Amino acid sequence: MPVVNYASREITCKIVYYGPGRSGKTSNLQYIHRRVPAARRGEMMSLATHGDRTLFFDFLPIDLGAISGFTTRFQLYTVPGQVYYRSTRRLVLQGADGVVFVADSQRRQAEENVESYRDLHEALAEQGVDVRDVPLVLQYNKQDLPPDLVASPDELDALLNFRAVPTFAADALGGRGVFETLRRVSELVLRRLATPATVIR
Amino acid sequence: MLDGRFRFDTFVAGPSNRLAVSAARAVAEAPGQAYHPLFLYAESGLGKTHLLAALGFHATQVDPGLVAGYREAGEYAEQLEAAAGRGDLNAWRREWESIRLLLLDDVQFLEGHAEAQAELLRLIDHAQARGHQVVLASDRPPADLDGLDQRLLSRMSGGLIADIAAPDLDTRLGILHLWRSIRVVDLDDAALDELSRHEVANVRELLGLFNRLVAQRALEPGTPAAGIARVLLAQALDERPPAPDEFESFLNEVTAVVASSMEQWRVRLAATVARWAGEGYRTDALEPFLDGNEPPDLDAVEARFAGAVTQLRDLEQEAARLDPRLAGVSVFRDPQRVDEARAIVMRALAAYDPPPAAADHLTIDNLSPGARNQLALRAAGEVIALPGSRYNPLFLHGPPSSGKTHLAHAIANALVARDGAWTVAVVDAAALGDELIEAMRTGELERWRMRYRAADALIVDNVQFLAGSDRLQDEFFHLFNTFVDGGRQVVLTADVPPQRLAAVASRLQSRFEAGLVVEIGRVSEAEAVARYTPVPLGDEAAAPTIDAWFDDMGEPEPARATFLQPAATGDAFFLDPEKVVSEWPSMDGRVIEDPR
Repeated sequence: MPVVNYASREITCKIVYYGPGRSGKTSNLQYIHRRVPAARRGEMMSLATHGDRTLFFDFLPIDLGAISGFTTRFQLYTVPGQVYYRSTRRLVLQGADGVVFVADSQRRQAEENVESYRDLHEALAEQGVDVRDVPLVLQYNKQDLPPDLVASPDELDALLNFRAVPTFAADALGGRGVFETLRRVSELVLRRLATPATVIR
Repeated sequence: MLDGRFRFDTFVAGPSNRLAVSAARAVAEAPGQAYHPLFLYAESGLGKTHLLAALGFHATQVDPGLVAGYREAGEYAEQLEAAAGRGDLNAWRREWESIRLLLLDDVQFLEGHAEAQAELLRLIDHAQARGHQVVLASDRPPADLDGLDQRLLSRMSGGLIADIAAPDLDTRLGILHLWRSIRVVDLDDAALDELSRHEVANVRELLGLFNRLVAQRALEPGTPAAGIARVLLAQALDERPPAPDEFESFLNEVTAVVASSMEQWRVRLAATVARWAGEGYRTDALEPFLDGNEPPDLDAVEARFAGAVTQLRDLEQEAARLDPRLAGVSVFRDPQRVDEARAIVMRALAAYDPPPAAADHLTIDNLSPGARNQLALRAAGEVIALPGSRYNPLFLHGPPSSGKTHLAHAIANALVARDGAWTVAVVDAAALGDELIEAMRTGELERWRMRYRAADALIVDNVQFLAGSDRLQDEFFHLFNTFVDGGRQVVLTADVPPQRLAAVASRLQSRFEAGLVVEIGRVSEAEAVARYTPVPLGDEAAAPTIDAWFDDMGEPEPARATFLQPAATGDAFFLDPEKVVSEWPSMDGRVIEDPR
């Protein structure tokens, strides 16, 4: 649930980028990091392996400033995609207000996508969260690769999007679709603000 | 331009430019037969000029006798102007009409050149009639060329329009491989692969990266080129100018969503909280409302808070006037602690401008005890022992010169003696009225109030002088309540019991009666005679003058006389002689009534 702290007048939203390894979750955060003015963002923290793959998670805090009297902050996290970091993924996912599932559009990654998407459902269920209640969007990344290598958004829809959540074709390296994805998931998260259950002190 | 520097074999075809390249080849193979005209468009740096020049060169290779001409549209317009100026327009036209393959670049520069447009229109028509070929290039499709003649636009659109898009991955890779072979540089495929991953807006950007890679590679011959490429790309990404307003538009969107998602009353309250907090006030009193699910009465809540802030400001000002060290004390920034702030100011007032105190010489010890004041003395003793909790108020009444004032002052002195830190306000009701009028006149009413409220006990002499002034009674009513409700002792004196206080509000009378009402009897003749003269200094009240004594003697006590004679009607309770107590052996737990 997005945290609305009326005492300190803060809104804090935690958005987690989920998906298989090397699907471009960190690239999403890096692009956002480059686009957000330095004054509005904290340091992007990455705990990465030597092979440049996310070992634990990336964390990027963004300060959107005062909105309607509330200091609004976004905390963007990525999870490590590799199968064996299951427990880390659970930990990072805890308390997520919204989830972006970053799928790798390459045809040969279809199985990994499905497996990771299933893992997301499982992780949410373990935390007692009904996946239908969590703001979720799908991002089909790497759509810039040659067409014979990648599945089209329609194909990926058929493969993954049985919940009919919003989807975005993206090229996280180049930035296409990155902010569109963030904007949509933020909107879904923030629309839930007025729900009394989200109000804490 | 058509000298072979730009050729088809140095132009990498790919999905982004395939149509344009194949059309150009077709035109070059057979000018005037395929497309009338061919219109190529692309943003700057994507290869329009290269393709035009390659087309021209190739066509002259295929047919060496072909007369081909390349011009930039701006140059074309200038030459036309010059020819017109010289007056040999016809010669100029003949020269252009003889060109069988006309390549006109950047036709967007014809915007605003009406004559050049008209000439071009004529030329295109002429070329079509003669089977000549016209190839045009622009940075926009014909439909977007605003300043061109409609007829010219329709001619331009009549053949084939082909665009050249930014190079895709394959094209970028092809370009890089081509450059590597042309420049003969030592870069492995991995480095080119890495570089090709970088999306560029135009080929020149890619060339810039390629050149940097080559230069960097020369500096670090031992480092794998792919690694250098990665670093270069990371730098390039950082250097890339931010997409216009990408973050701003995101921010606007989020702002709109928050504004529409948050209930408006919360937004308003949050803004109020932010404003007061910004002015340095604690907003604990407002914040709990934000937690609620139901909107509070915002106007009332905000007005209450603003009222408290106003009080705090006044109090702080007063406090700072009395003692500059008190300015800025945190209590003056907390609207939930107005009472505390007021107490601070009152303490400051007590220290710097104390209320009037008792006359030092009027003590219990120099009162003469006797039957007439036995009860009053005993009550005074109880009040001194347990101020505020035993008899509050203690109402002493008796005829003039019976020693009421002396006893009241004596109680005050005893209270101060009991606790040196105490402030006991002792004031005559007539003086209190004068002070009130003065305070109202000078606008220091609040200060006047606080000055008395700061005291630990209040002793008001001659409350019969409250009579006649509603305002004074109002003020006194609040002052009295402040003391009694706060468990602070009040001692009052009057010449008559409460019920007989003329022109005093009943609410005051009833409150006076709620404590202990004690009469001090008149000074007996024997006592008066026994008193020596001259009267000791300051003891005039306790030792009346002979004149006063005679005055007293001349006044009977009507209330007592009336009461002792049973009334014709009325409640039998009040007629019970046993309820009328005139001598008081002990007061413990007894209802005390004054004979009326």
